[in-house]
Amino acid sequence: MNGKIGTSQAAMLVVTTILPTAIVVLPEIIGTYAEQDSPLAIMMATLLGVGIAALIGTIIRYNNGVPFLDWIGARSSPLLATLLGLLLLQFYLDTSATILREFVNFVKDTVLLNTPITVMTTLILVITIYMVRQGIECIARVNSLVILLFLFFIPLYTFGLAGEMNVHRLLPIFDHSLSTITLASLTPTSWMSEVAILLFLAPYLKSPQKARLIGYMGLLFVFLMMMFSMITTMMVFGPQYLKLTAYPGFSTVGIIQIGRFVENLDILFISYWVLAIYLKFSIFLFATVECFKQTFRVKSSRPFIGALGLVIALECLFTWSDPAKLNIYNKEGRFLVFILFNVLLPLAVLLLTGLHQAKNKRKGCET
Amino acid sequence: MKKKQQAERKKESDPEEKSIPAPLQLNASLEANLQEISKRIGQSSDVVFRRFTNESLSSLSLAFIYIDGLVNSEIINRNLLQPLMETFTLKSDSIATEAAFSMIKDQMLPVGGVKEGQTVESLLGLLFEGYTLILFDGIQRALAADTAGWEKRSINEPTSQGVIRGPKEGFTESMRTGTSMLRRRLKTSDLRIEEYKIGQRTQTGIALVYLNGLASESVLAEIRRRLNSINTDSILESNYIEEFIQDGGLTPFPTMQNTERPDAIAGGILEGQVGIIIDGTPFALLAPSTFFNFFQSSEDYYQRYDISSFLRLIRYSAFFVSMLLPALYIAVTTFHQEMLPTTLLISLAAQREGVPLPALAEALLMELTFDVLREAGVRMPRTIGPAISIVGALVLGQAAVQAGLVSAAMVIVVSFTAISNFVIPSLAIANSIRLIRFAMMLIAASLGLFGIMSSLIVLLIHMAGLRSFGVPYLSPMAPMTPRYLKDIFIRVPLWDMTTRPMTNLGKETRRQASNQKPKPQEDQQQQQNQQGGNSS
Repeated sequence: MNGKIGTSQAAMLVVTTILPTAIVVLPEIIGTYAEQDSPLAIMMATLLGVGIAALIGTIIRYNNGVPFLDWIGARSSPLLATLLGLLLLQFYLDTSATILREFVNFVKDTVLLNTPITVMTTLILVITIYMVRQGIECIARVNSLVILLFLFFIPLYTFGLAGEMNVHRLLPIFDHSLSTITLASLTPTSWMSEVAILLFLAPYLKSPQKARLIGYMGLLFVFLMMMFSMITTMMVFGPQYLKLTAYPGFSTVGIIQIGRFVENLDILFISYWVLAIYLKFSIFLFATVECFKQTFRVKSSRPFIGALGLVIALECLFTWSDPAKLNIYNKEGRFLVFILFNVLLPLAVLLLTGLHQAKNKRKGCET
Repeated sequence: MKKKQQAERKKESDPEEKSIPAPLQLNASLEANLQEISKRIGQSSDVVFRRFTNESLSSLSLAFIYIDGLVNSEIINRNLLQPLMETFTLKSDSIATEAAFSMIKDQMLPVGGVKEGQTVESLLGLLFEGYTLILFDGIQRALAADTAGWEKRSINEPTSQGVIRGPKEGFTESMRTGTSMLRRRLKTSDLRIEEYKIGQRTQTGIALVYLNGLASESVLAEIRRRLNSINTDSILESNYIEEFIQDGGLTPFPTMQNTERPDAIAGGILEGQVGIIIDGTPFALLAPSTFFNFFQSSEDYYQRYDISSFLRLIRYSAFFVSMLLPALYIAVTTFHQEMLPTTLLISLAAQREGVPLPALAEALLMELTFDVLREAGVRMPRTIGPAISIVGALVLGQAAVQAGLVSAAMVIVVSFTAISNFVIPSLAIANSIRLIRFAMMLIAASLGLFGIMSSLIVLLIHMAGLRSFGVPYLSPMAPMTPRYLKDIFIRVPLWDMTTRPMTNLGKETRRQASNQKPKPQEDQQQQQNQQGGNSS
């Protein structure tokens, strides 16, 4: 059921594309460099992300929701579109595999310590394939509900931690140099650049002309949530703690206690997070399938969802079996890869299209 | 070749299908017609054949056929037999058969409905509906007079959907009684009742009831198409129709509502839904229906909005409790003991210390026991019903705990789950949860909270993809339409429901005038004066 999705639904999809893994992985990476100045790094990353959203939105406005690779093929040559498609397909397969691995690693570390990774990978993959087969419209609907559900957690989180927070732990501000904050903002920028997924969601947007607005809205929400999570974590534990723990956000929730009957609420937040990460993975799998469909110009992508899922699962199990390797990739490699595919490639396409148009105009004037 | 073989194999394996013979035209001979009808219906003791002649009608041979028990014998005696058997004087000495037929049809039968039939099949259809057939010798047509009158159950209070405040009458098994109950409530010329006959052997009457201009044309067309495409030999209850026409054939969730309450059907029709009344059952259907419809009760509108809203929230909570509580208990006690404070954990552990079964087996045992008790309660004769309660409460509750088979906490969990299940106003969705609960328990025992969340996302995605006659099942939440949320989780006061709360089911229409919030007269005058001042 691949119907059209509305502007707010699409903005929420952008949120889910970025937030679930960002909120788990980024605090440690940002905190290592920027400590109490981490919010500044998030701000900087968001500003860069807004620029990327503007770029992606402009491309979608140009092509008016036509499938990205079809549009490139029509504007330049089908060969170039296929080559770019293959590169993007590789990128989306890799990204989906890393998301799946992060998901599996997290569940393995926090909830199901003894369950074999293969079982978890298979289960998650089967569920996600089902989600993708149901279509982006269904994913967008459920995504809106899951994000709304998050609003119920905020008061619990805030009031539960109110007694533990100390604002002085945020001080001193501006203690780090601009270069350090820039360094800290590189990895979050790569996360923010995931807004580029809109290129493959564009054919399903009710109003592709509002793609920029969709990107801005999504990033603004991500920014607010990241700031909320970082600031509360630092106010509770202090900036040094960010460096020491793998999942500082969940550790913070872990100290919430309601009366004398409920404590260690991290499991509740982890359960919620599981919903969100399923959606994130399904959005990426959908984009991968869409990229495959456009690259190989297949009419129906349904028979290929399972096959692509299998490739992702195998990459997840064998390429990223070492969590240290994934951490290094997130810290050092991810930025380059994401900037290349989410920023430079679309930018090059936009510039080439602009040049092509200018050339055509000149030709038109000469004749 | 392979396809051909498959087709042949299928043909061989299929049971023989009895072909429906072409309609048989009536014969001019009365004897032949009687023989044919007699052959078709066999030697049934309730079928009455009555032959006679009337000298006043030039000794024309006539025959009555009716089914004893389906007809009102008083109507037959007074309005058929008496006029046709009495002697009267015609203007001329003799009368032709055709003229006698017309005279009988137009002048001699003081009966509401008189139909003409030319085929044996059409006449038999009318005969089984309580008509009395009048066959003539020498003519290939017959008359059927409406003499229907059989024993019916009187209108009683609905047994499955009782209310404290509100109408106490429920549908009966008679479709006509049902449509009349709706007519009494919806006194508008826009009310339409379309009738269908479905089931080759049962010829069950189905009435499609809707308000013209309010029900969506596309929904109506879809319902008509699905009803017309039903090809079965029998329809005995509304579930037959429901299963044949509802969306999502393999979903555990119902996509049509069923109710015994005429006020619920009238309420649905007024909100753009389409009612389907089926002859032979007091349960009528409403379509299209979204997930949230199943949490609305007629009584929500018969009591104050604040208590109705509170009860709605209770019902949604009960839905989650009923579906998830045993699974959560299993997950927490098996995988996530750290969630519980030490004192509670010790208390639970002490209770479970002597229990030989793991939490899943314990929960399954109790849940299955409850389901057995529930089923027994439904089937048991009323007189020995209380025995079941005693056995359930004492033997399976207290004694099981004392014997150390189950823990007291598990009894509480299962009891609360069972009670929560009954809070949901619709039995259809309550039954769906019963099944889902077992799946949830198994998953919770294998994968803990992660498994529960994984199942929930599957359920959510499944529900987001469901449609009821084209209407998204989770609307107006997903896709979200905030202005239609006035009657979903809470119910706002009636004066604030200016548009129909579920207008996405039908057409966008206003239900009533705005600004009807009751105010003291002085305030209203002041407001009018202000408005007058502003306009001047």
